[in-house]
Amino acid sequence: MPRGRIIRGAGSGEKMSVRGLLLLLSMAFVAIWLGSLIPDALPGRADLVIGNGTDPGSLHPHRATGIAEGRVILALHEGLLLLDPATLEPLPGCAVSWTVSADGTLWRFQLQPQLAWSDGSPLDASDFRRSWLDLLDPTQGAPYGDLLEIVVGARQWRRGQGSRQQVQIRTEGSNTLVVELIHPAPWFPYLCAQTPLQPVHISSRGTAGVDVPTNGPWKLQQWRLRDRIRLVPNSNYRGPARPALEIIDFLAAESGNTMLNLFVAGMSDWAVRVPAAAIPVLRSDPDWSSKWRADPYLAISFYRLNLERPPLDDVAVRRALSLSIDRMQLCQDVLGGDPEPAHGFVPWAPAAMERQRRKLQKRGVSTVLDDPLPDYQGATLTAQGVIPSIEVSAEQWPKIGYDPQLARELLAKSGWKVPGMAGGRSLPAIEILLPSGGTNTLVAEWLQLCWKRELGLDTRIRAMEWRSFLDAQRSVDYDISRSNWIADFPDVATFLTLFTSDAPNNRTGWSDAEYDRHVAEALHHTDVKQRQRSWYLAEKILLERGPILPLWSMTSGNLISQQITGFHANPLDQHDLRGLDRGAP
Amino acid sequence: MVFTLSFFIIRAAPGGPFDEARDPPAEVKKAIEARYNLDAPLWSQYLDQLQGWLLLDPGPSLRQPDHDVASILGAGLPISIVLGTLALVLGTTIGILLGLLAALRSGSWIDQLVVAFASIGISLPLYVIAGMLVLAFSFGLGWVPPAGWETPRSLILPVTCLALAPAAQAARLIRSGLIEMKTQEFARTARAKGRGSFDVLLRHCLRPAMIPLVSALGPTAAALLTGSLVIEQIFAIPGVGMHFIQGALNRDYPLVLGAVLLYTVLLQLLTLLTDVLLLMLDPRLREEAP
Repeated sequence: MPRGRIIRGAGSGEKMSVRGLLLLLSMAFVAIWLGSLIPDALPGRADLVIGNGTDPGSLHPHRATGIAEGRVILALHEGLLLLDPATLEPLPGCAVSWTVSADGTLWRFQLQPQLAWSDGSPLDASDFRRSWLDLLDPTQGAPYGDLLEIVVGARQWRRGQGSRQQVQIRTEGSNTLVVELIHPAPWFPYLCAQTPLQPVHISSRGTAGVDVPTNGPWKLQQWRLRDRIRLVPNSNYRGPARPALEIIDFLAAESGNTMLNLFVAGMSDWAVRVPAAAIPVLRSDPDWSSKWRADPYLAISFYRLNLERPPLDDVAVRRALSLSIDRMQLCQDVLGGDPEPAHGFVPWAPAAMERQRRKLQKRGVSTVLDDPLPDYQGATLTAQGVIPSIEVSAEQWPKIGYDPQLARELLAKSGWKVPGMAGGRSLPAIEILLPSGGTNTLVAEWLQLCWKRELGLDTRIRAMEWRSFLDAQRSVDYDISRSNWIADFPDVATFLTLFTSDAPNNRTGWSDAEYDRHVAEALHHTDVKQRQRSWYLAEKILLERGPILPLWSMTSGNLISQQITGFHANPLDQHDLRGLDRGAP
Repeated sequence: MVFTLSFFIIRAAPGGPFDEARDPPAEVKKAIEARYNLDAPLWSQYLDQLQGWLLLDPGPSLRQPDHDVASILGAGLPISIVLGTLALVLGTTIGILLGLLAALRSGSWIDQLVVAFASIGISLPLYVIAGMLVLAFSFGLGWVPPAGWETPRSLILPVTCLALAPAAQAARLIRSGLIEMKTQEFARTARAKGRGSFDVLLRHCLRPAMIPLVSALGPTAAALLTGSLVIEQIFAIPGVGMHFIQGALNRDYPLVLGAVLLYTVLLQLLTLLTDVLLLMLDPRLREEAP
């Protein structure tokens, strides 16, 4: 019996050794295979590494919708014009010069001769014409095609009543592009520098990638999905000035915490987003405050109101909701102190800008902050009514629209029951619709407490994931709905055309013929003063009887290494990488 | 079955892939939907998608139109496989060793330490563990990068985080299995014949004690190999885990279907592998097999 065991044991041992060998071999194979799956590190560190947020959806100028995409696309392409990084003044890009007719509708761009794509093939005015017509083409469905609906024939074509040939974008010879607009658009040069109007190579067929030629100072070398985009110099670039930086990496990172970590570890030079919880530290800590840039951004944060639902159909209730909000407190308590209260729909009134300058001075940051819309006087909703914003001083600004006592009186006068006053009917509860995440819920909870305390109003919060939220907002299935609006170009039109009766992004159902008339007049005036007057009247109506509750003027939020030079504050938060350089460490 | 259910569940969600903070005119939106066949009846879209997947050509992603779904999943899968395999091997090995140690010294402080480790490893959320590891090893000691996918050192923190749960699971299962096995007759006989306690645990008890662990490894491995949303987000790892959530949030229908199918196939394969391993480990199953 013992012998048998030994023999069996020996046999089993032999079997085990063959099995063991096989196991070892397969483990070695798996190890080699796993090793081969680890991607090779890209050679060398880039001259500039940007923590760019979410991986771009598309790098095709007509398909891109986000700011992260735009940052890469504007480095890969060069439009007719560029924007001065500090002043946003239009500068020559592919066009060396441009003229506009006396009535402001006929634009003629003279292109630089011998322009080329990154593959060396020639680029001329016909490429711009084709690209812009493709952007408008309703069958191609470019989401930002409406930017060019100011071109004669474009709107009709996009609504199925015209044709490509009727759109007035023409070439004269190979180097002149002529564009005829339906009304004067002083912002047209800014549009020419924006992402959707960049020239697109004929081979692109709606997609972008390493194989698709571009015409900017850099070309795409590698796009590792959800990891890194690397740009290298385009040797065929014929632009006005060669940029100082050669290799640029865009890191994809979904989380603000991760972007902050990468920056702190020195793995990126610029984080385009940080978590809200870190902002107070970034503002106050001397090691970080010089790297933290929260500059005025032409963007407004506001609530949309559904005027079809009681009690919001009562203008007194709408006024009371606004008057009871201490926006300054909201900016300090919830938003970290960088944004400024908004009392109108066009953000960054002169008084708010002045307060921002003082804040920066106090932090020892030497930045020149010009008013983003210097020609426009702005409208401010005060406790006494709407007045021009230029009449409000920086000292008055924080509390100008805050008067909870008046709010209660207005409600009581309108027959509603309010705390501390007898009689009246109870205010029905209101629901606040918002997208989940970020500071949205914090802001809503702050307002919930504020309205309960000041007006005795009950509110419910309905947080939804982003696309369900958009669906509900578009269907006007809300009482109050959280909203932002970011300027496409530095002009009042980008804000005040939003609530016309036929605007696709109105999303409130509100329609006011007088408002529409003022907007139409403003768009057609060639005289600056008349134009600004019409804008003021339109904004006044919007604030007095419109479906909005302005909350705060937004700021950008960039964390940038001090080694990077040439980074300037500007109201579009658009930083042309051509102007950046790397200083001494 | 999985494909059909997933298709109709994701299509029941409100909103669509081309909803943005700003809307194009209705005519343009219709054109975009027509471009991706989203204006066709649902059953027709279902058949189209099914055909695409059967031919292994699911077409482009709706939110990342520069890439097709196969290349998006193909780019992320190797990364998730590397991370998941390393975490699985590391976690299971450590867990088995800890389980052996705890069973050998059952009732002692070592045993209690292993039990505490197993409880923490299973119950502590990944984002807490990841945050603490980043703070200690990236910003405290400066040994490893806090995020990114650049060098083999980038693997250390995410693999450690991912390995913790399987290690805890393995330690718990092996410990309890070994403690049960060492009271069995065959173990007592072996000890009576003069075998040492460790020898008995290793040579006689470990194999049967592995059975519950191997049964649990199939789903664990499938979850690890298809990536982890939390780990990918914290460490900026471009694996496939994020597509399960981002694809659904973006209403990127083909990408969601791809991610779900990928998970299903992996789960089936790994369950099959687990069954084979169980047959090798447990002779009783072989005898019962027809």
